[in-house]
Amino acid sequence: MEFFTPFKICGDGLAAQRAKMDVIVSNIANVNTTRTPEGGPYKRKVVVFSTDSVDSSFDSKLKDAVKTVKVDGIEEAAANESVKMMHNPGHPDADERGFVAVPNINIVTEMVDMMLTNRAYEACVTAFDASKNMAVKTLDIGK
Amino acid sequence: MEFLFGKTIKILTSMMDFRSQKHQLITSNIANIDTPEYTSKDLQFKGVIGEAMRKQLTTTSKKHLSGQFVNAGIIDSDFVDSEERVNVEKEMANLAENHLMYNLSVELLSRKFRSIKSVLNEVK
Repeated sequence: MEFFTPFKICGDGLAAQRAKMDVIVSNIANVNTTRTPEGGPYKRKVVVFSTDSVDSSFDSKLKDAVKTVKVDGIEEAAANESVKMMHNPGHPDADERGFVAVPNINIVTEMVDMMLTNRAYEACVTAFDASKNMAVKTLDIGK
Repeated sequence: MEFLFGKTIKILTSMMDFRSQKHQLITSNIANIDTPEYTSKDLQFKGVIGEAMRKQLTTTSKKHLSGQFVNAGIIDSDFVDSEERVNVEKEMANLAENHLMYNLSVELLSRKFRSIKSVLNEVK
C-alpha cells in the first residue's frame, strides 16, 4: 500500500544511519589496535550509501523518483592513509627502528561524524513521526 | 451524487494525494542525506489550479446569477529534480509544512463529512 512507503523509506534511513554509527564506534574503539586477524594494525572503515528503488505496485510518476537508501558497503580507507608510524620503542609491535604502525584515526573527525550521523538519525525519526501522524489523521476522517 | 457531496471531496482528496506523494519524496530525500551523488527531488504545482479549472455557469435569463464554480480535478503536479545536494534544514521545513497542509486537508474533509452527517441526522 502506497501509504506505507514513507515508513519503509524512514526505516531504511534509520537502519543506514545506525550502520554508520556502528562503524564510527568501531573506529573509535580501535583507535590504538595494532593487531588484527588479517595482520597489521586496524584500518579505518568508511560506510558508503547508495540509493535503492522502492518496489511499489502502483505505476505512478514518482516510481523512479522516490528512492530508499541502503548500505552499499563498508570499505577500508585508502592504504597509504590508513596507517601512521609512531615512535614507541617499548611497544611489543615496534619494528627494529622503534616505530609502531598504529591506525590513522583522528578522534575529532570520528566525533564530528558521529554527531552528523546522530542528526541524520533524528531527522529520520521526525519524518517517521510525521508519516505516522498523517496515517493516524487519515484514519480519523470518518470519526 | 454531486448534489450531496459536491466537489469539495474530490478537490480535497486530490490535495491529499498530492501531499502524500510529496511526503514520500521528502522522506526519500531525508533518508538519502548521506548518499553520494543523490540530489534532492521535489513535487510542485503545475501552474495555478484555480485558474485552469474555473468554469462559468450558463445563464438562460438575465435575472440569473452568473455563478462561477471550480471544477474539481486532479491536481496537476510537476516532478522537479533540484540537482543540488540534500539540505536537511530545507527538507525538515518542507516536511513540517507538508505535514500541516495534509492535516488541514484531512480536517476540512472530515468537517465536510460531519456537516453531511448532521444534515442526514436532522431529517430523521
